Amino acid sequence: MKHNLRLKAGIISFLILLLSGTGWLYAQDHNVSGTVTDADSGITLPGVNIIEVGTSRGTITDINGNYSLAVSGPDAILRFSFVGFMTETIAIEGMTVIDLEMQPDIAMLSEMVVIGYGTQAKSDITGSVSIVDVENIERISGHNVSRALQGQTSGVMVQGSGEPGSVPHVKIRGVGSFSNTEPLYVVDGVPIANFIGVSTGQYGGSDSRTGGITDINPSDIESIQILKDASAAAIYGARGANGVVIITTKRGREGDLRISYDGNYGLQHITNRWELTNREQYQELNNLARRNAGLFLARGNNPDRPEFIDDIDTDWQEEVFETGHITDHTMTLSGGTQSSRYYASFNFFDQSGTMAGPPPHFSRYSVRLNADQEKGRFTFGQSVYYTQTQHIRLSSSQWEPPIIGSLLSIPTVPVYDEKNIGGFGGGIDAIHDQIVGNQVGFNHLRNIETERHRLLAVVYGQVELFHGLSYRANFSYDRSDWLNHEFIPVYNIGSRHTNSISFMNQWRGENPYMLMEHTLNYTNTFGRHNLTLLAGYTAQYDYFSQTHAHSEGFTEPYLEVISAGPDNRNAFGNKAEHTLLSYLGRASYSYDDRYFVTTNFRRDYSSRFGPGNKYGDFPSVSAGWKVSSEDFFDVDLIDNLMIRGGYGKIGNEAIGDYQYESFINRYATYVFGGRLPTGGIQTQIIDPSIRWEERVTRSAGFDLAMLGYKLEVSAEYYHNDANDILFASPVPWSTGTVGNPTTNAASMTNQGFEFSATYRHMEGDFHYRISANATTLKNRVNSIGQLDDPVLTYMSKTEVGGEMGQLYGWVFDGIFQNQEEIDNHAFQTAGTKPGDVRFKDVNGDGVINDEDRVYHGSAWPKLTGGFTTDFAYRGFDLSIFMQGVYGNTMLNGPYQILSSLAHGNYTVESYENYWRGENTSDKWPRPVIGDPNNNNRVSDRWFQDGSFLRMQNVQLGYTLTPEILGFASGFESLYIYVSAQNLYTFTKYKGFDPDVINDGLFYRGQDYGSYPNPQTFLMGVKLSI
Amino acid sequence: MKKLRITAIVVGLLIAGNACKHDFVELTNPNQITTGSFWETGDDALAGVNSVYSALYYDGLYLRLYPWIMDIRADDMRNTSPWWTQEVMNYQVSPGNPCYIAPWEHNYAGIFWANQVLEYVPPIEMDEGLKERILAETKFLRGLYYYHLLAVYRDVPIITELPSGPEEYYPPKSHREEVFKHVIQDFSDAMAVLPTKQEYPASEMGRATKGAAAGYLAKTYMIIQEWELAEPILRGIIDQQYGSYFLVPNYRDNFTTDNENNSESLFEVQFSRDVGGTTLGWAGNPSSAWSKTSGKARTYAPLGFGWGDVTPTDWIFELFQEERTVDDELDPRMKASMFFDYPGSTVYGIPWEDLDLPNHVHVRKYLNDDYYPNEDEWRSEINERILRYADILLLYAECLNELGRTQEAYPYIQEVRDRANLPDLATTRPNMSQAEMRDWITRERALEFCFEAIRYVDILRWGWLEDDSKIEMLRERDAEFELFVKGREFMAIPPNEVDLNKNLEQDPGWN
Repeated sequence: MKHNLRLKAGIISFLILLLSGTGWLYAQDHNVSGTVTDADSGITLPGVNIIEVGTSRGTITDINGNYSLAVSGPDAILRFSFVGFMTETIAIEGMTVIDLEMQPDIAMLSEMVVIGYGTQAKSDITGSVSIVDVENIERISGHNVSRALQGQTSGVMVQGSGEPGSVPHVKIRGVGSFSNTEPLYVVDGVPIANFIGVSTGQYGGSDSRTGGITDINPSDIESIQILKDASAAAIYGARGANGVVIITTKRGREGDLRISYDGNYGLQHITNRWELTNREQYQELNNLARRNAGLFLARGNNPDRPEFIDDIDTDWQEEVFETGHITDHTMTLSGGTQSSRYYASFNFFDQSGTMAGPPPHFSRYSVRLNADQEKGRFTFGQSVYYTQTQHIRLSSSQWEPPIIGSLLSIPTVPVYDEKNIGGFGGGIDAIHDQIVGNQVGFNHLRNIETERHRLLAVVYGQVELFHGLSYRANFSYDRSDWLNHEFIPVYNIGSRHTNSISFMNQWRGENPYMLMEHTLNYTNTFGRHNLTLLAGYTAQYDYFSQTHAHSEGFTEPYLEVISAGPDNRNAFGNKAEHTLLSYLGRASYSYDDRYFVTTNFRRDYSSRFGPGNKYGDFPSVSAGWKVSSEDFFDVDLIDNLMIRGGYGKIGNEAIGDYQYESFINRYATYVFGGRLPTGGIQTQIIDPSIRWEERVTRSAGFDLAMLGYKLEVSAEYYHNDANDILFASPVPWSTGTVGNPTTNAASMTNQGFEFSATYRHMEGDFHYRISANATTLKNRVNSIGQLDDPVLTYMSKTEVGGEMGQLYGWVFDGIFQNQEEIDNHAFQTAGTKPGDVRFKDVNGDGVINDEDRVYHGSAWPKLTGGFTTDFAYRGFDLSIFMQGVYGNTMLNGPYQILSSLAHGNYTVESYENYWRGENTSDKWPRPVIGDPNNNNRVSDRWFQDGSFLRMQNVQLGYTLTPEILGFASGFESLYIYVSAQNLYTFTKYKGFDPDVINDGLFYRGQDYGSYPNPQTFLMGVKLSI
Repeated sequence: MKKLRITAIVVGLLIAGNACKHDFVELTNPNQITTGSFWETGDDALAGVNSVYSALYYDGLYLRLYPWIMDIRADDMRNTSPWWTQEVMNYQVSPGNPCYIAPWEHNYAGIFWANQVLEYVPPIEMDEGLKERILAETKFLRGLYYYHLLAVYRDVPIITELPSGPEEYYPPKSHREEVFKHVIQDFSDAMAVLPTKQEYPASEMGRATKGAAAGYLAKTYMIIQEWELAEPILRGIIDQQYGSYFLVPNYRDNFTTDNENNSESLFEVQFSRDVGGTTLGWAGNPSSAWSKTSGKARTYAPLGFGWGDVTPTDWIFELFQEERTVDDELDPRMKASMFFDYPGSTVYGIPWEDLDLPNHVHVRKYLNDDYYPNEDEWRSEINERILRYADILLLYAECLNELGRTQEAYPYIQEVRDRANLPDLATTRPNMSQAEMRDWITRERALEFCFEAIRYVDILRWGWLEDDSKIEMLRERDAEFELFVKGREFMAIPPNEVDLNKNLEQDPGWN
């Protein structure tokens, strides 16, 4: 953050001198004035806060670093504070002129970092902690801080789609769980509710996750720290396994009321297009595919039929995609006295997606009030945050996601058709041979939306009991309420997408978390010994409860309330509760700023664990040696060198409620004599001994600062063993269980290197900073289930010794040019004909079957990273952020489907290259409906390199100083900027976007029509008075 | 109240520290009762057997898939779906194909549930008569689930007890002859105890009856060609020994919601739209939101009215027209079973000539065209009559023929033909030889039971798919047999199951 401080010093922070103005009301008998400069560079510092301690008198330095303040008397004490510099307190002792050289708070090394139930000086940290540059985060537009974490710091992988309101996957140091891989988010000291899985209805798509951290307004965030393994996260015990993201929101600072406004507006586009066949090409290929299958031609494609279509040639990509809008406005008010400070913010965010129709659309309102009070030995604080979000969801057909459906839509179907109920065009099977529906129609006709309300209230009280010992109590109430609304009217969009009975589903639910934490903290210094002790006790209760109502038979004009549907009214509901009770402790000890040791411990009792496993213990230890503090260390170039390492155990208790008990399902019942009596049967085999997942972590690394803290480098090796991973261990279906019993039966290892470096140049007019981070990851599965059987999906295989979700499929071996080649090759299917794909008989047994599948690459990047450069020259600043992954392979689902030469549209590539007879193609098969040879099976035809390097953000800004604006403007500062996001992507991947969302686990390498991340052009303004 | 209690605990904890930490983390599931507190009363026993029936509602059984995969593989129906059934008709299997998985998964779910009742109900203190009936119903159902498994797969594991631990989750398969022995045992045990259809009160309509058990026992004997064992049971049914059964006058009454559980029905799957539910219960843990309805009608209905996933073959369409009624009209079963172009023909009330259907013939059996404009609602309540008295009559005729009593078979065939108003077979085709009669019965069965998931079981038990000349004949009737691979007359055991269970070998035809 430091890189920009002087920049800021030059451009911001001119509070109107109200305080000194009101000061004249008092009898003044002493004046102090002077100039404040930067001790390093000698440059004057404007905007430095100067307060007379114990009074409300204060001022700030002007543009030349000068100040003048009337104080209460010659024994007044002044406190000088400025972001990025050490605060200094000076007794004036009768002086009237005090010039101060402020010492930079160099590279934040002595910055206090929040590490969970306490803080630690950054330079003393021995555990694995990343500090995220919040300014970089602020530059990424969007409503979601976890999305913005992509590429910002080492060890953190983020996968996401471009759909407004969608929730990305965040994974810290790989993946060590099949059920919950998201880190724990701690906001203002308390763990907050994780994502909620809401019902999205019949057409609302599969990604039902919402809430969690995505509710927090990013512009309220002051700092983000990431605890990456047990050495730091063990203090969060059974919830720390996937890492902990600690977020602290902005709080009021001593001083006058400060009002700021931050607003931007942008346009979003999907820039890439698939090259797909036009009407004539489509008709030719479809006719051939039908002829090859012995089917009649679709009438609309048959020139001999009266229904032949030659006047429609819809380009569905142009129809479906449109320009999206994104806008974000925040207003804050902050200020206060030493004993009472406040920060209030109001935010409005709105994003209409890049697709035609009401959906996708996401908007959010939020308000925050953070306040702190001090009286004597007591400190109190409150953080109250309330947000309301509205998410209009994309609706999908029942078979494929919207992107796939849009691409497969064929040119001979019109977008609009007045003859159809609802007014949208649709394919008739016999005429068009179209299966997918009209996405524009779905978007307009169906109404699927989620409205959520979240209250996150945290209050704390702290008292210093005696020197060094303090007691703190935190209470939090984190409540989500939601309404999911699905209304499906009567419509007719072609053969397969008609709805003749309107219906409506509504889900209302609540998910409150109540948490209480008590901690005792003791800090003291005995000579060269520094000791910090922490002991705590916490209890949490939360539940999830949902009610679902359904009704049908609505008639026009539609009233979208349950009561308006006269038929089949039904109601359902369920509830799940959870409790967690914990003891925690930490001891940090350092000797002479040379040797550092920290141990963490937590014991968690959880309602999710069965008898015999009610609690888990999670300890860790980390140690560091600050070599640079040793007397013998005498390297001028090096300012700081810390070598550190850690070891510990953490857990994951997000295993679902009540899993250790077997239950009687009363809904398995049957109709007798027209009535439905009660049933009762155990439908699922369970494992009563299930317990938390365990993560044993080891790490070692160093932090280095050189050249007067201009260059900072950190590197770390990590090795995490995830044990007792809960796994729905497949048991044969012959057991009759309708779901696999969840057992602690898998383990894997994630290991790799993390590297980050920053170089700053802050002298003169031209400032710049370059920083880079990179992470390697090697994932290895050590055991799966009782029998170590591989987990197979249609496109991946996960087996012991291999990686999770490794891509798996057949091997393309050319095209059969004639019957002779078929006869001479291993048997594929009885329907194999010339022009079909020849697959390699890998095991040479004369038959092509499941045994002939092989691995086709890793779904995990060998390397992920980010690269940021910032430049500032006088009032201008330019920031470029690049981010990318290298070395992963993906199954290109859209490419596979669009090349399938069956129902739906095709790529021009497949049109131009398909097999037209002997020796016409050795890459592309004949088109045939029904695909009797299964040409489209998962094979290396569809696997592609997923590496990419993306210019994620380029921002150019200019700061208008009061001198330029003129004081009459009333602005303290005004900053204007333009930015371009997702400007360009270097990749070989064919498709909209190599950054896709999927389950991130067994299907990690799959792109099945992920909503592409848009390109955004944004302009904005930040001003303060 | 709960919240108050929890709040009280939280406050208590504040004061008392850790005194009650175990209470705090001890929560009871508010949604369901635990297994340990069940199987105590007669009500529990009854609830248990009710559940055993409900596996019939799964996709792998009568929600949709079982009839669908049986029908499309027979010679009277083609697959016209782009879905996974395509792969079935290519005689291929890939690991995720639900057509192979669901029948296996869901029949075994029914078996697991039946085994729970058979294990937990005997010790319960309750009305002994009711207990005996519950156990007999359960045995019937277990037999029925195995019967379905054997219709789909060649050899399957026999599981008759609850596993005592994970080591028992991996059974080997047994030869189908062995499995049939168990099926016969279950049906026989059930037959001995169950009340007849008439002995049940109307409120229990739908439960397994003595007649149902007898019918399935006889069908099973017919499959394994134990003619002499089948004959007395079939005879007994016809003699009303196991309850009273006779044909309904109107053939179509067997396939609509009118006249369900009629005099012709030995066993049917009970569907109802009146008992609530909003979604189809395809698979997984049964939920209160699951309706007790079938998804098959939407699958079978012609495009525009449903998915159009199946189409009758030309062979069956023409077969119906070969023999006209005594009044020189079309066989009335043809219009009851199919939509096609004839004077006054309508499809869901719309005149044929106003329509633009993809084919000249579509399935009508078990569709709701008498009630609804289409099947879009995807919720059919037509009971699936899975064992009809007509089947008993034709099986008896076949049984007599196989026993060399060919001439005695005529009246039983004619009883079925009479309803269709067809001329007296004894007049039109007198004195058929045993072989001629055998062929004739296959024809009668095709017309009577087309699209009822019966035909393919017949083709299997007649051994046609092991006989090259019969395969050739089938290819002429239905081009889908072009891709038939000998040895694949049964479906593959789900590949994932074989991967998972090292004791289980794949059907040799699929290796």
